[in-house]
Amino acid sequence: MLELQELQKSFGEVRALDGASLTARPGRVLGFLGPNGAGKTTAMRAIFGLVALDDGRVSWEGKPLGREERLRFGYMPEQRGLYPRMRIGEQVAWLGRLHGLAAPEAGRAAASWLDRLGLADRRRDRLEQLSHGNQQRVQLAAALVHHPEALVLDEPFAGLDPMAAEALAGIIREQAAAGVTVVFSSHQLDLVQDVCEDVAIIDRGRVVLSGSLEEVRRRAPHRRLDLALEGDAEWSPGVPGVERLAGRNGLTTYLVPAETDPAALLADAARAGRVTRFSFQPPTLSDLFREAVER
Amino acid sequence: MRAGRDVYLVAEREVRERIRSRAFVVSTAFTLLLVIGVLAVLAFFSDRPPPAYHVGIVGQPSSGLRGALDLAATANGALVSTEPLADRAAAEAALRRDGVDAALFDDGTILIARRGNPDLESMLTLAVRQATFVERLAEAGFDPDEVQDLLLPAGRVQVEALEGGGADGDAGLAVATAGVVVLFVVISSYGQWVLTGVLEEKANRVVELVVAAVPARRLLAGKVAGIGLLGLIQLVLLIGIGLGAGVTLDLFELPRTAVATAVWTVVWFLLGYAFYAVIFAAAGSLVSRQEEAQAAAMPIALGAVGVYLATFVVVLPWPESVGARILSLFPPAAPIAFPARIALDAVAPWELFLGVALMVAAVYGVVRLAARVYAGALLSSGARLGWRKAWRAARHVAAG
Repeated sequence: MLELQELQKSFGEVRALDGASLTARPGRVLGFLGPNGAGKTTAMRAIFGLVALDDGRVSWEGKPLGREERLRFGYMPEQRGLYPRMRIGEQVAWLGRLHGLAAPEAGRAAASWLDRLGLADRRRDRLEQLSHGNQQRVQLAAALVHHPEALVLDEPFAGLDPMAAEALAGIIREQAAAGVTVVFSSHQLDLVQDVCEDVAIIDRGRVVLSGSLEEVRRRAPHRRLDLALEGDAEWSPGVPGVERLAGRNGLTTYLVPAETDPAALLADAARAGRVTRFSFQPPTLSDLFREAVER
Repeated sequence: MRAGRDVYLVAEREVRERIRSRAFVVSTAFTLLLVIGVLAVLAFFSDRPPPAYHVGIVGQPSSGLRGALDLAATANGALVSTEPLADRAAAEAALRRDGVDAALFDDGTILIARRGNPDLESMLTLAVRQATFVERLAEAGFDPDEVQDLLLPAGRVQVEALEGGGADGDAGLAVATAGVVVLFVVISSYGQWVLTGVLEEKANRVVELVVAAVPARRLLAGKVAGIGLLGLIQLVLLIGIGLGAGVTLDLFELPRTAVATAVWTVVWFLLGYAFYAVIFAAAGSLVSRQEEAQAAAMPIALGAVGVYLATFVVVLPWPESVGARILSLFPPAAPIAFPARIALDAVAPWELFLGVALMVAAVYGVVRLAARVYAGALLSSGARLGWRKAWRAARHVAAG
């Protein structure tokens, strides 16, 4: 279990972390979500000892996280980068050795990950000879080569096309299924809600919402209603507490109190016109985020 | 043990990647060819013919003068020819139009156009004295020819010196000069390699991944050690090939100080390289883009050029002067100035001890300073950082 407790960090006037706490559990994927500049990268750097905290603790399996334990973590920094002129096979193997693998084992692990990621025949190529997408795969191999017990990925989905994102999601789920503790960050809250089981939402250095995704959404005081009526029919809700959120392409989104009966809503809407689309579901992470920070 | 393994892994990567790079192969080959070329050119020009003098003789010279002149010429490695001249006026005229290099009178006077050729003066003085000596012996009843023969074995006199300067002087100066050039080139070029290596890691942003596993100071140590090992290999090659080619081309005999100079050159290289490399590394960590490499290196490179020139102007001509002593004890200059003084045999043991001690202290100091700046600046991106800012930024970096 990886725990960040009450992390505090200021850079001059800027408060990057203001009491942020989160817990990541083995075998589960934690989405560490929040807008740009919320403190995600600072918190992740703190896990790797790259930031001297003003206060707070990072612990692993109940003990303060030290250098030795950290070597069993895999890291994908927000600022991607590898040695451009180094052959990728040697590069990944070298990074494996840096994390404590013996040379032969590092070579085998590098080869196996590069094979797995479809770069088997590129092992002897220099990084700079690879396309951007393939370089991203090498970056992932670099985070995984030493069979880490925990994976910390800073914005791993940024810049990926849908295929690559799906492949990455598959690897993340597979690692978690194998018992690895996975934390990844994203500023695109809704894109990743299928990947994570737990969430911690951070804003201005504080975690404002955390728990299992299901529980967090269930606990929410609102539900999201998407409704479309035939023609340009307008629905003026006769049910209390319904709040119109946005309308686009004939589809209108409302926030309604969680306890509202969907059948009553549907019946009320049907009085305004023929209902062509009706969806009643827990709020998205963006909705939850908005509610949590009230803006 | 972890620290040693980290440093080793970083250094190993540096060596492996650089030995394969075209830049390293080309620069090493070029430097070696340059040294051999310079030595070959020197060898060509050092094959000068022996000096030849034409001497006018006025009046009736003593019978032994001709023989004495030959003897003196042989002793000086010179060739001498003579011609009779009528009187002093004729001698002066011949001297003025460069018809002769000197004129000898039968009263023992030696007339030259101007002073400035001590070899010629001493050679002629020797000849005249010897001729007078032979003449007096003849007057005392000795056979002039026998006397002449008796003098022959004394034609060549071996000079041995207790202290340097004498016979070793030229070769010592050549070795010192070559040492200054080679040390300057190797220290500053490999130092700048460290700078570009650091900058490359920052510009390509691989550094964050690496320092998540290896503390910044170990990364710095490994990088400096790896590149330094390559520099050391190049330096040893240069010294070996330089001395070897010099001896083979008959340019110089190995001066007595050669071995000591070579060993001390390596020691001072290690100290000087360590000193400059960590400063270069810190300077490289302050910038984030390749285009800024030149600007980052400039102040340090200028400093190195400064001490290099100072060594040329002060230390090589006057190795025992106060200026040379101060320069060779001043850490930034010592790695270049000190070996030159050692080659010129102008160093007292206590000075060497003090110099090394000061240098080691200075290296320790800059490593402390530069490593902190490096650690502080490593994860910054964007605009160029100042040294002070980076020093303060180090507070935000946990594991140094």
